[in-house]
Amino acid sequence: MEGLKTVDCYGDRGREIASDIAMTLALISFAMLFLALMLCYAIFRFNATVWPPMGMERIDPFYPVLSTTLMAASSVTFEVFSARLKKGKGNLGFLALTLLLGLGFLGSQALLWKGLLASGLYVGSGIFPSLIYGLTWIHGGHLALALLFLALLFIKRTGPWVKNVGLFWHFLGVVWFVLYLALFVF
Amino acid sequence: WYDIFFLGIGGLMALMIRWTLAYPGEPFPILGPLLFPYNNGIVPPDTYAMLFTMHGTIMIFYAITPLLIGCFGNLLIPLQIGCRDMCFPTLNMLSFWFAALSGLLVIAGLFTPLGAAAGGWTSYPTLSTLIGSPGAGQTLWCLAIFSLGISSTMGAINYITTIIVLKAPGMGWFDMPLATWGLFLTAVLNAIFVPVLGAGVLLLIFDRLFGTTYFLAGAAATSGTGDPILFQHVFWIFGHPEVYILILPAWGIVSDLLSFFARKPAFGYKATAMSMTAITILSTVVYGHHMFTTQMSPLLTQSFMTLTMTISIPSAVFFANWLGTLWKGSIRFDSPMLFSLGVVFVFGLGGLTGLHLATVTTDLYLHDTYFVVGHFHYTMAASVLLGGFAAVYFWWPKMFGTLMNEALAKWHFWITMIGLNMVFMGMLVIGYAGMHRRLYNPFVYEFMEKLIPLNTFITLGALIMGAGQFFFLWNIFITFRSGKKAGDNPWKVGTLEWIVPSPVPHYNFKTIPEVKCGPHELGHPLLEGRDYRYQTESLVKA
Repeated sequence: MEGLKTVDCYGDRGREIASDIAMTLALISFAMLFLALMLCYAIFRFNATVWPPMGMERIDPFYPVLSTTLMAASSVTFEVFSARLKKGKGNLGFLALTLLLGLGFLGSQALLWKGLLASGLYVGSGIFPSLIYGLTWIHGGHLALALLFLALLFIKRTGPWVKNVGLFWHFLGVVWFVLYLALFVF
Repeated sequence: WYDIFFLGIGGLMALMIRWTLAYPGEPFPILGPLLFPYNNGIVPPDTYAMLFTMHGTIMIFYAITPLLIGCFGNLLIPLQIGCRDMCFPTLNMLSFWFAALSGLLVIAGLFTPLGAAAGGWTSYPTLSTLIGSPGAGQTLWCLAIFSLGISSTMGAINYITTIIVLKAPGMGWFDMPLATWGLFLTAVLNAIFVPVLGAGVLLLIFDRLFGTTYFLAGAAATSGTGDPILFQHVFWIFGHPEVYILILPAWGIVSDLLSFFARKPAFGYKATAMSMTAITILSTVVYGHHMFTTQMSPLLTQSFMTLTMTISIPSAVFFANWLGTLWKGSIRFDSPMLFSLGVVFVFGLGGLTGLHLATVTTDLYLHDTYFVVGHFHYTMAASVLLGGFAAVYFWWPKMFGTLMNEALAKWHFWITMIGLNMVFMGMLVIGYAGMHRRLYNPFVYEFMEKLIPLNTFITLGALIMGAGQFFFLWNIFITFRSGKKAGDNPWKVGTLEWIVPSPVPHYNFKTIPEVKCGPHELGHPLLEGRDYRYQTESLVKA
């Protein structure tokens, strides 16, 4: 009985339940991280008399909008991939597309950061750029991790894995959307 | 082993702190001239700051967490709920390696040119930003904490899932030993609140490494305004649940041990489990009591005060249950029991002093004095440490198959208790008199000079306590060399871990047990020939 993983005793359904619970907990943990960051944002924002503060201007919306579009598209392509996989038509094209869109997102973030620097908004220029850089870096870091998991799906595509990577990916998409609204729209 | 090493270092640091306070201006014996040749062997002020910072950090994150949550969590959870291993063994391994990495990072800080972190274990900006702590030591500290946060969160997810999913057939939530309850609730708090610390520390890292201005304000910032108090909020939203994270396993373990060594069912088992849960929930909304002196609005301070006092109610409930378990029990004074009784005593004292600190008006005076230090050491160091020792003595036979020497254990207990009470009771007194914490030389204030003899007394207590630990180490040494073999169930209790042979085989259980009753079925009238009942036995009227 030694080599058998303990939760295997309860079969596939057991593994699924366990992975569902664990993934929910993981998402709660990640959500708490981003919630804490949004708390910081909220405190700074609502204590400032004018926003953006210190006479700064809103960021040019091109790259933020591009990022949001890429992120949304990648969530759609992932769902298509996942649905096709369940139906048995497991072609990896949509997975590759998701990965590419994800990389595109990171690229668009990089261009966003370059644009900020070009317009004179450095990391140390104050609380407004600090928030933008810091929050998008943290989101981007988690996204890079998610890209690794997406790549892992090329090798290993069992039901729970696909579901969970998908959840993480969509979660990051939602986080991005909140960041987009908070930092670039309102 | 990781744990004992760090306990040793943390303890040594504490001694250095005490020495400085007891004999200001005197060189520290032996190591002094080695470490501080430029100062004639006296502990210099910046080193002093490093000492209390690292002492706190090491004891909390590298001594208690790995011992109670890492070691005993991994040992007890699968055994007590009747399964073979954690739900996610790889995740478990990852959790350990992140913790090891964290340990390396934090020790590395000691070897940087400007020394280790010196901003207090709470690392408040502006002191912890580049302006207050320019060296790499503080940054390494931040990175270490972040890494440890990842480790704790992974572990927590593992523990929670395992307990929810893998309980043996027949084991309901209220058939679990209270030790497992404690570990479960700790894991829940861990999973939710450690990421908040991660966020705060990450932003501090950004401030230090990339020049962001989250926590720098006014003249300290090159431009724009951050807010140092924001860090305090974020830190304590994590920090308060953290102290409950540290103590919940110990509470659970003591609740079980008191029942086992009084040969009685745990009084009010369900109430204890529910109070621990209530405390877990309430602990999330009281963090402001660490910040009463930050000019928060009185409405907020009063709310936090009321909520903090509310926490004392469930604490009193399970404390009363402890006493109820002991009442009319037939008490065996083996070493785990001695330590558990010690916990009852010190936690009662420490918890009561918490009320003084919860009240805003008295807290305004007592904040940052040694009263606080005495309070949290009683509740954290004393209770958790004694609980930890109780756990080691109790489960040693299960882990290693040998019995620890009882005589040495008793010496260990009494010397530790005496030393501990000398130190922390003394601290309560000097804190009440107004002596400030974290000051290199509090005696610049003339009225404090009268307290030097009391400080010397405290240092003596610390030395006694330190000396007592040698009994523990010696006990470990000789038990490994030539310990008496323990049977499967030397303490004669019925929770699932005592069904399997000692030491535990790799796969834990040959067949998954089927649970028929709760964990504290002692003295059941239908039992014949013995007074304990395994959780897997059903009793039939003869």
